[in-house]
Amino acid sequence: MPRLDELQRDEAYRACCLAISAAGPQRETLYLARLVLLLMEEVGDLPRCLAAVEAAARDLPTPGPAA
Amino acid sequence: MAILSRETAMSRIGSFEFFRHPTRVPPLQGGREAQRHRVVIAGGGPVGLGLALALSRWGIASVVIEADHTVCEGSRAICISRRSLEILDQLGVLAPFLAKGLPWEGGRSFYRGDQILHFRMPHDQRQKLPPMINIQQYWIEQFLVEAAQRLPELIDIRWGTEVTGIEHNDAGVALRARAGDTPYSLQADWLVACDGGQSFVRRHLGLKLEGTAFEGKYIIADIELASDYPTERRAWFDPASNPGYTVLMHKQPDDIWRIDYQIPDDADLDEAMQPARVTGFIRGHLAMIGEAHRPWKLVWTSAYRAGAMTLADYRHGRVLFAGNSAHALPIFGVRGLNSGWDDAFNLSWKLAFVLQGWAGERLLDTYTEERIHGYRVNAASAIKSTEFMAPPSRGFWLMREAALSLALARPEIASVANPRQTSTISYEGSSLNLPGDDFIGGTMPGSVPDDCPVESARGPCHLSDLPGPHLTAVLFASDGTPAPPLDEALRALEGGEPPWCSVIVARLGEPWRQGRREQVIDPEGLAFSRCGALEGSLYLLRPDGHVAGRWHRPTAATLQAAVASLCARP
Repeated sequence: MPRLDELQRDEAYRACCLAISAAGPQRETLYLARLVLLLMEEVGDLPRCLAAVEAAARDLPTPGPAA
Repeated sequence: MAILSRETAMSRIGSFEFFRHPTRVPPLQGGREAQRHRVVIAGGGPVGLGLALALSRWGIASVVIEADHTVCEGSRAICISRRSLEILDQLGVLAPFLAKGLPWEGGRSFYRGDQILHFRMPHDQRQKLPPMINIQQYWIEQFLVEAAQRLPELIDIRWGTEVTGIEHNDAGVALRARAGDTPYSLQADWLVACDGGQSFVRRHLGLKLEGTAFEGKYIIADIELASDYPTERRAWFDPASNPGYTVLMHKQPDDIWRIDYQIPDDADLDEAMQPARVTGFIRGHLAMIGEAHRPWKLVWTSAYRAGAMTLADYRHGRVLFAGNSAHALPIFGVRGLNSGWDDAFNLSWKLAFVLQGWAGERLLDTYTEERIHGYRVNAASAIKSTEFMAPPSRGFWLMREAALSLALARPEIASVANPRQTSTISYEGSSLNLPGDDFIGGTMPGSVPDDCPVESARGPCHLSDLPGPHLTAVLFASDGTPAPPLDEALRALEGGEPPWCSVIVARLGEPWRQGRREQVIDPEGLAFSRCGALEGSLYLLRPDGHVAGRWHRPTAATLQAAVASLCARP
């Protein structure tokens, strides 16, 4: 499976930041849910999808005041 | 919950005229009915009537106790699956259902203004029956009542009679009933509770359904509307007529349309069911779909909340449960009545085998085993549909919105909106499944074979016509000649009990029928390939059409052991 290198990760990370900001507070959650669905289709592998779903929930903190 | 006055609703809906059946009190001796019954069925709805008809095929008489004087008022269960049509066909009552019902094969889902899914149920030209028909439950019950009335020696429907008390032990059941003002008692070998979601029998025995109740609430309304829109299932998510919520629409015979629409979880049901509110909603919805110019009227309203719940056991000594008395399934995917008929058909042959002395009572324990399995399979699909149609929490709402809003651009994601309509249950892992041989393809023990046409002495028929009130051996022999030792074994079984029929599937020759044996012709080898059959392969079908076992080289011993095992004999 292909992996992101550091530069690519930076670019994907930044693209997400810009897209969430562009969606705005009212639509950011829906935007993120759509992103999840599309990425799961890209992954195309149920155990890896479920592992990511679980990993994201593990030790989920309450966001700080700035987030 | 019908909103029409009782008199109006009782007389006519569309072309259907309600007939009020009189209450009849049987001959009594000191308040007691002298004749003991083999089977009493509590509840004269489609499941109870279906069971009575199924038992009648074995010559078993039953008494059906029905609290109402008429068939049901509302359209209620309107979608009959192919599997249920096969069961109705086996009961000999299919013709009026096909003549009156509206067949359909698929449907469309919309998100806001866009069509995002066009689904089709599995169907091909080799099938005898459509994947689904729509028909109102009052027509369903009427056709079953008419069939029962043609068998007055075998089916005794007691209208306007309530069960008021039950005592049971290993030997039978003592019931108290009230026919109008007349209380009386009656005795039966077996009681089958087909008395619905609010089952008196279940409550009286102190039994409870266990499972999950969902929050989502739906209003169900029938309107009379002359629209030529084709018969298919339409679902709207977040439409202009019900912003944020869902609407479903189904066509029924007699220009009746079913409209199901979701209301907020915290809405007051009584208020939401007020006729002015319902008609206001429907006016807006008809305007949205371009049907506002047509005259229409509201004929029935009800409300619905989803639940997936079951009894832990469908047999309690001499009392058995079938249909909604045994389990509740969410409406989405139409598994309510369809699973009830599956219950009745599974139970009928087992009860018949026990009553006729062919099998031990242990056979009835496989009724619970197989139908609880059926419940679990049904519930898993129905819960998925329900979570989509009535999202139970914030996460389900959000992901649904995400999926629906992507579905137009990414059609593969639209599959989550598929209604997951009912399909035939396979009793995989059932203790009745017999060890057999490995086949390449075909139908596993516990499943129902895929249908395909063959030629019989009665004319063109299908594989689904071969089962009946008997065990059925389907032997694949191209030249129509079984090997001599097997031929002798089949002859012996054809002459014995339980009843047995042998069907030889040949590639060549003429179809014929003689006694309990017949030959059908499979000129193109379709049945051979659908069953994964080799020369000499044999499928043993149970009376409900499910495969009991299959072998490539069966012997007399194979078949004798199979019968003993099916009859729960050691």
